[in-house]
Amino acid sequence: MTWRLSAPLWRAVLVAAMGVQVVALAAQSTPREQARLDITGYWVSIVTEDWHERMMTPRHGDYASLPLNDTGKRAADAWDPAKATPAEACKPFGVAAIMRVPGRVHLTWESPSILKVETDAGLQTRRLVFDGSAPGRWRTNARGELAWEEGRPAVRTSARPRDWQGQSVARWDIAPDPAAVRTSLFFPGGVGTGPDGAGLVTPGRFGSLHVETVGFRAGYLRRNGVPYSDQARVTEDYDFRTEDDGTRWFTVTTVVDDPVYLAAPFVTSTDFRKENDGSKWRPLSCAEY
Amino acid sequence: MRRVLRPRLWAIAGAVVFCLATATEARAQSDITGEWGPLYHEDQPDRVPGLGPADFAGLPITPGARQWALSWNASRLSVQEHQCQVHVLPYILSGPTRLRIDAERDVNTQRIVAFRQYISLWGQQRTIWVDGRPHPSDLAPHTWMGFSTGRWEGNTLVVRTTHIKQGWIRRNGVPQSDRMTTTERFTRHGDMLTYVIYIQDPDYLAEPIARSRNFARMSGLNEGNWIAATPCEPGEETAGPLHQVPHYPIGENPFVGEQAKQSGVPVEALMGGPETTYPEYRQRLPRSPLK
Repeated sequence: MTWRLSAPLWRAVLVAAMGVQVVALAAQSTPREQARLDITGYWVSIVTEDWHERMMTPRHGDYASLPLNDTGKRAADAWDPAKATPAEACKPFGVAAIMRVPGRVHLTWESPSILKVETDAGLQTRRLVFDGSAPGRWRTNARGELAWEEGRPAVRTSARPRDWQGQSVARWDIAPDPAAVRTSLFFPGGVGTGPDGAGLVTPGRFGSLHVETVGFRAGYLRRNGVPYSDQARVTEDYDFRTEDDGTRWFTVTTVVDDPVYLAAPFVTSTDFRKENDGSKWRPLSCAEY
Repeated sequence: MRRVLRPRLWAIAGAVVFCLATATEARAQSDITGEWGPLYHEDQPDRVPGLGPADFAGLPITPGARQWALSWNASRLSVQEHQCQVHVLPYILSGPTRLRIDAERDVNTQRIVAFRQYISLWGQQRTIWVDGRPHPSDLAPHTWMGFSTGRWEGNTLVVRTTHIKQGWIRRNGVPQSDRMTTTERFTRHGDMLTYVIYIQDPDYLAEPIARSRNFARMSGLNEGNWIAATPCEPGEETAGPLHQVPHYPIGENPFVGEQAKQSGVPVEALMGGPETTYPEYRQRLPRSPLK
């Protein structure tokens, strides 16, 4: 008798709970709305790392710290700026290097699911398309080397000609808000990274912007002709933060994997600080830079 | 009874599957414990073996810091009192080191109260308290690694450190005061750990420094491959007067201009300062490749 009487109540609870989930998902239905903070605006790269290599053109044949294979070294050694054509002027501004080039970036939402990244250095434009894919990730193999582990195919190259910035897909890797997780109907103990037992937790939603890019033209990792090929893959994680002095920053961790010129993935991380406006935006073409 | 229970079970199972399927926010990782090896793809000359003397480019230092650094003489490292001076926290994770992170739990509650870090360079150990304890008084002793407390922001462990002994932020003598504070962020991306340190120094920095480094998870042959810590034993290495501190008097550093001559980087750029860290400074530099 008790079971029969409670059945409608069960159904009502379940329907209500599922409704809450649906509403919650619908409320953050676009990547722009899923951003935990407003990331748009002007950001400047603060060059405190690799100063000599980034602010100036390194000497011919200087590829120290880059994991080039023999083919890559030969190509770098063969670099001859005197033979460079105007069509090659943007090679140092391609997607594998552009975030490392000293300059400013302007982030805007071109649409609810496309984040546009413009650079004043080299006048480049990137479009990060949120398409719901699940890219692979870097894993350490049994030999202790960093290696790419395929996930679901993320980047679908279209038939359009390759350009310097290629085709990028993006997703948010947002950690669960510990406050929300704790009150969750179905996960009272927390899901995955829940705070229980892990120490102090700041309430709120935090996470990374994950981007994968392929389908670009070959370019230079450094201005002195250190190459990357059009077979490379670029994986980026953008981590946004606010420091206790109120300044806003993001760090982009960039991994370049190139089967042609690199013996191992090339990993850098680059820091940008938010600016109040675009008054310091200084557009320079590849040739002018 | 069976006719009533079966639809109910299906409904519950459906709801659970639905909720699991929609719990996409939980896929990021936050376990930063384990063994990590450094990647030297960026800032390598600054880290290993270290930049040459009188090269402060890209550091937003004050004039006072510049003068301090210009008076620094590398022979100072041979003086007994300085032989065992380790890299302080703002620099040590940039050096040739491996990093092990362990979690320490309260035996009763089994909650994590701290993360212990073993830094292979000079066998340094540090504790990051995540149990909410406050930082000590300003008068408390300062150490190489300082006093650290942490909290999670999503999947990032944010660490605030004070009480660091006086040291350097570049190993060619650019000073760091004992009033320096740091905010570190440890964020795991797959099997990589991105480490960002934000350095503030009211005495020697005109603007804060943001530095980022990357570590790869050690596994396979590399896992557990550690060099034993070797205690530093100071000894007599110099023939000069006892306890004399080698230094350059003001205006007499012989290395100023040497690198400019060798490489083509202007002296004023090598002297550092906040203006050298902005992209527009590039317009003041030669465009031809370095020599």
